[in-house]
Amino acid sequence: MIFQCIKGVSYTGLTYPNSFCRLRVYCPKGGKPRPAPLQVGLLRSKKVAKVGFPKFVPQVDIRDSRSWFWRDGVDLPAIFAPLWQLLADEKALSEARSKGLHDYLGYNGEILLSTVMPDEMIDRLKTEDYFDLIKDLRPDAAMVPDNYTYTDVPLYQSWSQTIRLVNLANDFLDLDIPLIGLIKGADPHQIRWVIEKQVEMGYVSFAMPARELHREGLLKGWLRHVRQMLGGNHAMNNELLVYGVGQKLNGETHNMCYSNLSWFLEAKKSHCYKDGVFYEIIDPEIRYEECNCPACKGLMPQEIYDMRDRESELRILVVHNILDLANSLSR
Amino acid sequence: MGSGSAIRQWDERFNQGEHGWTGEKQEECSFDEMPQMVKAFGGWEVWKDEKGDYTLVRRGEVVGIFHEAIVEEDRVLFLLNKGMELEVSEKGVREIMTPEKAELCGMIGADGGCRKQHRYNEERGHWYAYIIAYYSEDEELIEKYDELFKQVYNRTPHHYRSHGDLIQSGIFQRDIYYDLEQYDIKPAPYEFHVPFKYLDEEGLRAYVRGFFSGDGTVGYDRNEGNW
Repeated sequence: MIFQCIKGVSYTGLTYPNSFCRLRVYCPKGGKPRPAPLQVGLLRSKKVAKVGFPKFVPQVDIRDSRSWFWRDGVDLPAIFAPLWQLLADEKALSEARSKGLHDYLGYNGEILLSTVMPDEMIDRLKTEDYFDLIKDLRPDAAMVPDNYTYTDVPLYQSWSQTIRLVNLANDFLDLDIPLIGLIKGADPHQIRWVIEKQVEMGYVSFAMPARELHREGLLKGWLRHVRQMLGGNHAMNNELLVYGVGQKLNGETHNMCYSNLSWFLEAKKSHCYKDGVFYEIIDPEIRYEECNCPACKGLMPQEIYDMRDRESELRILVVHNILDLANSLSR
Repeated sequence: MGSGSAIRQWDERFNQGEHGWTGEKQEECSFDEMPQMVKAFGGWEVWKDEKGDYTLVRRGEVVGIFHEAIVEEDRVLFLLNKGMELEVSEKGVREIMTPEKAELCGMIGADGGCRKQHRYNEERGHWYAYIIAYYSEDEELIEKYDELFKQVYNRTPHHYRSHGDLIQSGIFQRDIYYDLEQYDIKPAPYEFHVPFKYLDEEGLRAYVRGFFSGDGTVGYDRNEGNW
């Protein structure tokens, strides 16, 4: 990225990074002095409780109650609640902190707190902030704090972030709830190291944010590596959840769990899932096929489209999609 | 949140900030702050620094820095990408289309299409093709469409000839499809929607110009005695 910047890539518009380029510390053209490398703290070890992921753990949009599927009678055992959405909405955060996530959402299943969040928020939060939030929100399990590890920035940054993740995972051992380790890295070395350290600390449940890796064609190879590591380290006692991928992955994916918000995001775009693959609602492939799920009740996608009522369409698609995805990912 | 390519994620999160290749770096990075207020509307301020860059500030916080701006009496326009401008005025801030993009939308609304098609093959599995196309027998209009498309998206569509003299000027590009889809300019075949929200007066004129290049005409009705 620096190379390209020197060669002349310019950014225009709202994000022109003159004043807030994160790579400033590495910039040979007048950047600030580079900070001293982070040190790995003294790592402890503890028997961390296993979360026991169901095959599909839907994410919900905390700020959009149309994604609160349990209100429509869909019964799934666990959800991921993204912390960043609360942090971005002061009113919702204060209400959720006073009531706790279960009462705030009105959900009786397990609520797993996702710390995957935009980079600028990651930089803002310290261990104490996470502890305060978890204490108030009272989730059933929490991820260790997220980091950012890009493949096209200097490795100094991704290693700093990886070390930070391990240090925070070490701090999180003070919590008395099941914890979810994170698998992230800019290359297989970092992935290997971050898994090794967390396994040494006693983590057994892992989530691997994979949306970008999947899109860039890196996921398949890296996932094989991760599965070997987890299998080899702990006699298959570990569990792995792929986070942020909206379809079942091909290949050796048995015993793997999934979490995504695709069922809701695609419904908002009038997309309809069938056997884990989404289609446009008027796609000839599906539009005249009756669906007998509890949401469609024998309607064809064409009939749903013909309602010309955006809200009713969305409500049907939301429930249809989550049921289809839960079904296809559980097979 | 970040993994994979930082550049790609940056582009996707902030699509106004799409990077463009400028060949040679024009100027050194500078982290110095800037003086001189150009305009102030309500809580919005526009500042210009000594290098000529404009900074948009809201309640003391920098919202964005722009290389170019058009300063008019009652508004300031900042050029964004994909044929959009940020208009800052007493009424607040909104994104509007450049006249070129408005005209392009008009042409697509009349005789074009913006759709996606489900495709399947063994090797690739399920996927969608995103098609933006304009149809005409008139080569001059096709040329005009290509020119506008190039100005707005910096891409040149391909030409396909199928039935008789009909020319399809089309391009398969997902980001452009989603860019146009948000304005809902072509809700369905034979339907069109005027994106009033994104048009200023000049944009409206351009849209009408583009639309009537394809469909319709204005003429005097001798029997009725009106236009």
